[in-house]
Amino acid sequence: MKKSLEENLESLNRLFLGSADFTVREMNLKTPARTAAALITIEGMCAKDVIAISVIDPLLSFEFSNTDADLLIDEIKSSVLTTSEIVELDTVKDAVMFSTSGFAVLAVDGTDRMLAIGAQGFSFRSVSEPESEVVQRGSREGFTEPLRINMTLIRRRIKSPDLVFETLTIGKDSKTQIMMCYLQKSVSPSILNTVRTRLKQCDLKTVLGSGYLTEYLEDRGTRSIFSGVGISERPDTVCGKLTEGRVAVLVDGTPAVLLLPHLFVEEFQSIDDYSNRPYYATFIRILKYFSFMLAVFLPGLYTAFAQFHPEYFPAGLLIKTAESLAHTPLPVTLEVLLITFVYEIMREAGLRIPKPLGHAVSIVGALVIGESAVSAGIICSSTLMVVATAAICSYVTSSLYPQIMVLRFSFIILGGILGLWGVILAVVFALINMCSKTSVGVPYMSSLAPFSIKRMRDVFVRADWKRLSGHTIKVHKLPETEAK
Amino acid sequence: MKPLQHFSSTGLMLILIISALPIILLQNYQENSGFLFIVISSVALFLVLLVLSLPSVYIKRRYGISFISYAEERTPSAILFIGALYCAVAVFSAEYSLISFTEMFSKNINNKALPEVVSFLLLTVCLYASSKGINALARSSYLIFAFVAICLLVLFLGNIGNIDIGNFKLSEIGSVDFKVENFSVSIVIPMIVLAFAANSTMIYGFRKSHLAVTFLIITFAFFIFRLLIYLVLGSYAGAQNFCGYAFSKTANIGTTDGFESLYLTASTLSVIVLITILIISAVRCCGKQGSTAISSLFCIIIYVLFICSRNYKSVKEILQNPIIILTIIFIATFVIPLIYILFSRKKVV
Repeated sequence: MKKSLEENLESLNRLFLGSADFTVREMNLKTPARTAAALITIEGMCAKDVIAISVIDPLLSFEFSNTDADLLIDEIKSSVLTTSEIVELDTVKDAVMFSTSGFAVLAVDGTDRMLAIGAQGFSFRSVSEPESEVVQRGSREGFTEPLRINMTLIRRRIKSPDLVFETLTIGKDSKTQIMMCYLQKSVSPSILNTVRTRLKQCDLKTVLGSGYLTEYLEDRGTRSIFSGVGISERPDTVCGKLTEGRVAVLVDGTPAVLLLPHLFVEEFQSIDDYSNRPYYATFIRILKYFSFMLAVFLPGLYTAFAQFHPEYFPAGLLIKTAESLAHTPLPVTLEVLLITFVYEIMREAGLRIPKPLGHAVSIVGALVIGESAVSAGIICSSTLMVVATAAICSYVTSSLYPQIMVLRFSFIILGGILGLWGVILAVVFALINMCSKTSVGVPYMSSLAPFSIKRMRDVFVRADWKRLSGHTIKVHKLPETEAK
Repeated sequence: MKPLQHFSSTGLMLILIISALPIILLQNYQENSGFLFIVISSVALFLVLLVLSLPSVYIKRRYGISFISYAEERTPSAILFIGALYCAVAVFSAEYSLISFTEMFSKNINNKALPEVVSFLLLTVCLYASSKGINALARSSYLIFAFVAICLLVLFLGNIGNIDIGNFKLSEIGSVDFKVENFSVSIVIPMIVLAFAANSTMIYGFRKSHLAVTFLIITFAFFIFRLLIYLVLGSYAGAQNFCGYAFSKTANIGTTDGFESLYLTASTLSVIVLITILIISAVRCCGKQGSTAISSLFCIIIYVLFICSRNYKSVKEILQNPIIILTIIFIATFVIPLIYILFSRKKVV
């Protein structure tokens, strides 16, 4: 940074290439020598009323006795400005970073120091209930886009000095602010260091969402269709995970918070389980596991049985299915594949199209493709029912939808080619893949494989709070975990 | 973070139990051998398992490493020979199970299926599993064990209705001229001791009682299987199309017929675990861990041997001969480790 205000402004202008939102408010301070100063802001990032009342008005009305620019900066910092957040800057790079983060940067002629004044005032979505994690009895608050608001949502729930937020900047161009959040007495230093190192090693130019970082946070050499990084938009869920020794990664500009390590059994847990009565929560858990199995296996097994082992169907069902299949032109494997594929297209279309058109898609899907195709004898009604049941089941554990979809297609193809035996081979393949996966050194299938009897009170069943609260199991204490 | 190289003793013990199952499942128990024979063969199985595992257990307890690691340390020049022998035994044992499985598959599940294709697909899954290492297999074994246990329970409970107490004669030994081969087939199960001798370096928290319990479970499973075949399936199974493989197509629960699907599932899962652990043991004997290239090499050897056994009867006879397999297992798991213990002791630090 130079001492001349003109030169500093020129270098900033050069960096921003005269961008339309780069604004400079020049002024003369009331010093005996009428010292020149400038307030640099990015339009839309600062609150104009805060700048006017807490920055410009005090600066222009205060009568300075000093003429030395360095002393002026000290005086401004200590006696003039009324904003709560003031950071001193030494480099142009810092000035760029703070101004693009919503700070107003004050430069005074004759000094190579600047002040970054907290006056952020950009518009953002308010705190609202996350659509992807709806609960019945829990909090209605969900994370939003600005990082600082997400921080406060967590801090409000854990009012302990044990809670630490650690800032990192990732993205050579985007300079996205990342916040690592953990409870220092609960987290394993090894897990923390691994997460920190992996984030620092991320060499992306632009980070526009937390999803960009997930692949950098996965363990190397454990490729799997399942993810070792958990995602949540709920502050209460994140706080619960933090108490078990996990690390949360908050990314500025996205409401999805990353959680590490992440285990398979967590996909079946929700914050509602802990609000409901244990017996009901247990029932829901078992229902979720059952739905997952149905969503993955039902179309594949149906294909295998119908194609190769019709004797496995109960007599009544066998007659009806055989009758129905006899009148359709396609082989059962192709039929199941086709319906599943069409269903995926409709689902994707339903997600992307504008809401008013959603009803039209539903009608076309249900009536035209579904009912008409059956009545026209193009597809078999039992096949349609099997695919529809599997589709509904897959929404019970919606976070596992991508994995369910891939597995379902694999099982249909293998079941159609090799029968039940093909499905068994695919199961072993998937099982080995899942069991070889680790998340920051913790086996992904932990609690089930390796089996942990202590963890069982929060896997298939949800034990009562008296038992759960007394013995919180830290994630790094799970069997076969590298980080102890 | 590197993947963990150690796993709990329970993992290996479960692998051993699951590995013992396909041999029990794939045996032809058509011959009604009598209750006393069942008892004798079960006790013999337990004793053989215990005796064969004694040297490697001693080495593991005293030095904390597997026999292969011990041999590597004590006689670096001879490890090539020992490793080669262990690899040969592992390949031989894997081949034995593979042939038994494909035969059962093409005979009873799908007689149109080409055994070459069946074995190729099976070996592909085994190759993938072995490339992921013993940790992944140990973890999978928890879930496979649970699933296989449920399958077998349903199989047996489904047949309880057919129990024939009239068959039960306590003093009967069975046909007097029962073959030695039939007996040795039962005790071919010790091929799983090979897995312990090759992989025990990696397990932590090992206790002698763990292994004894494992062997007891295997013996108990063997005993129960044979007893139920004798009591539940014996004469009934003889009247079925699947009489050669008594568990098949005999269950009848409600309107749903045919539980050979469960039989197929249990035997496929367990045979995959057995072949995978044998490939992993062979790779370990080559001084490598989790090497996909070496695993592929062993899979190719097993497949080539399988093709040979399909085309040359003499090869098949050698590979399927339980006496030969039992002898080489005895040499590999008992004689050689014992020689090391007696003549190549090392001081415990």
